[in-house]
Amino acid sequence: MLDIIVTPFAFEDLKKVKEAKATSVVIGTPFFSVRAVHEFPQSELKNIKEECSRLGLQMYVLVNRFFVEEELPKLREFLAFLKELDVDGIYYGDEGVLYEAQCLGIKDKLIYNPDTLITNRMDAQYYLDEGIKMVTISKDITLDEMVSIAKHIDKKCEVIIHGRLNMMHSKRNLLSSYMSFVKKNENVRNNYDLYLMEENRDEHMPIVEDETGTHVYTGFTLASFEEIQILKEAGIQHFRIDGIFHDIDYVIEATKLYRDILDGKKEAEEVFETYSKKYEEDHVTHGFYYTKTSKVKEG
Amino acid sequence: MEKKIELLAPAGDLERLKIAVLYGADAVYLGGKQFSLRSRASNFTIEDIAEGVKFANAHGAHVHVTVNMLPHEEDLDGLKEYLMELERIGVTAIIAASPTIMMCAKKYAPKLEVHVSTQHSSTNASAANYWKQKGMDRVVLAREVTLEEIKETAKHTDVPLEVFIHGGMCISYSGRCVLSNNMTGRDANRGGCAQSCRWKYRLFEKNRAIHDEKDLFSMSSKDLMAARYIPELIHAGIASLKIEGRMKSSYYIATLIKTYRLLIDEVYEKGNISEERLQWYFNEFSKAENRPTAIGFYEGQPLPSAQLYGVNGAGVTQEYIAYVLDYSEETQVATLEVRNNFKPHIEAEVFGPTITTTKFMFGDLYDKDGNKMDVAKTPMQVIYAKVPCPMEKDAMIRKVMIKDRRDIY
Repeated sequence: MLDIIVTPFAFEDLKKVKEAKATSVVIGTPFFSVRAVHEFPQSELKNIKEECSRLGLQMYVLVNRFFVEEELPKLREFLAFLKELDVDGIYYGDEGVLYEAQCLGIKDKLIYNPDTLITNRMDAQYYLDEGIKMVTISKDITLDEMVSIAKHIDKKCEVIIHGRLNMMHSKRNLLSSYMSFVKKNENVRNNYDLYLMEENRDEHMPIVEDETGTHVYTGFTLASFEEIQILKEAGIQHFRIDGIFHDIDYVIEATKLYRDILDGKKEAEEVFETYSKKYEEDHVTHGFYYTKTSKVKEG
Repeated sequence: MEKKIELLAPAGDLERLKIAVLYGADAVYLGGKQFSLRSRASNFTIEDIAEGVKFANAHGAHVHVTVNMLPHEEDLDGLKEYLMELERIGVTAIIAASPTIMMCAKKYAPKLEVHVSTQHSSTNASAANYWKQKGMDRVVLAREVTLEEIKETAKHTDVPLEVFIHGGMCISYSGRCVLSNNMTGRDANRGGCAQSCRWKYRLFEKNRAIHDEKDLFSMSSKDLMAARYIPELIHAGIASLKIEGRMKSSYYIATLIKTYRLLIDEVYEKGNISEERLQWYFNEFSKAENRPTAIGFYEGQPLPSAQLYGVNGAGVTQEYIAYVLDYSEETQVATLEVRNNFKPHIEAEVFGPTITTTKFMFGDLYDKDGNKMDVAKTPMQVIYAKVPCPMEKDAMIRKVMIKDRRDIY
């Protein structure tokens, strides 16, 4: 079954995304989640699970922090809690999570999303053979490469199809450090209105410093209106729409557009054109779908 | 203390491999032409690697090969054959990030050790234990862990751990960064990293510039220098101390390896290092620096002073002036190959495979035809120098410089 995974910003959004025909939600929670659009307190997760069950939504929880040794007991406790809650999926990027989930017998809930690392079918299949639920294909490879991966492995892979993509995660407080260096007093912590421009370029790349360090996002917004059908035909069943830097209306609008395209109600090319004009400031593009990166330094 | 800790040095080519081994590395890592990151520094053919292994083994050292590319669909051809070749020629270990490559080595080249690359950002014992359970022989920890975390991790796993102690730092968790891919089309995880993090950026809040026009924002880190923590890393049972820098010069490698060798041996001899001795070692390390150093994450979140602002950090010094090809005790004449210009009768320092840094005054310099020289300035020219102290083949000579870095933040 086709799975459209979206990012709710509030409890009330669960109903709204269901109505827009999303099938799964990504739930962030403090400490354990990185780059979540919203962090729901742990005490609310039970209610969210109940509401998801009632609505027929899958609940995927973000446990994508890198854990240091002394944080492992906290991780174990939280995974046990998620097991009891019987969530439908757990995103992770740290192999320590895989090990701990295995100890708890919940490997089959895991979704491996190591940002950049899944770039070929054999590596994807390796993790699926570990008995996890699915893997997230790297967002930095071409459409052809994604299709090639999807065609050759079990259908359990996810592609991030919409939103700003994270380009780098530093554990350092890069913005605070800089402000301290130039002796300026600016509010740079948890501020989602900041962006970088390379000294000779005009691309706006959002940058966020939070408790987990510093994140830099792409200067473009990925849209896959023209590619979703191809990805689906290749066998990909899980598609994620990430609303970071926006709100629930933005997520719902995109969800409906993808549904309409898949249902043959709208023409993909037209949707892309209209959409990219509407969100001109967001610089809507095809990401890396048609851009092959090179292996070597030229010149 | 069990097995002596390994000093692991980078080797950009055969020449640097030999220098690293001669100056005291227990093992070197290098990149083959295939399946490796750092494309420019990965130019070893199988024949070169075989020669490197032979040289290393003759000096009691080992060779590790980086097979750390994250292959795309088209990149995997010939992998099995390549790994079998590495095994056949006596390579000790591969360093890999792709589990396909790791498992392939285990299956077809079982004599190779497999070391899990830092690209997996392993920061805890559970991650290490996962790899152990898969049969891997060593885990390279992420650079984002503190000394205490390293020690705690080591307590909770018995898979050998490798940690970085010196060299360039990724500002991002390793392997998770696509700045280069986005800004230059060069794939950081396939050897093309353009180090876009070290570029200069303007910073805005909505439409308001909040950067300083004079010193733009940058994500550039100072290099790591963790010499101070070596005694504790040894006591914690860490298997290997890794130095980054396959792109760095022979001189850089020689200076660092020599100094770390002396330091490690001193720790084993005395059990610890005094603050005074540490200052001597720091001074030696500073002679190799081409970028200022800091302590990374060893003591927690890096301070603002661990970042590089205002300078691009790629400064090149002209400290290294000559390579020693030969020395005659009888005539007290050294045969030198010129590296950077210098004059006769200046003060200089020599250090070599068995020579610890020794200051001396140059006597006269002569060219090949026996003519006295006013200045030696042609790189790679072979000259003769009258010197008052013993030298040895493969030693290096540097100018004595006072390095004032107070102007660097």
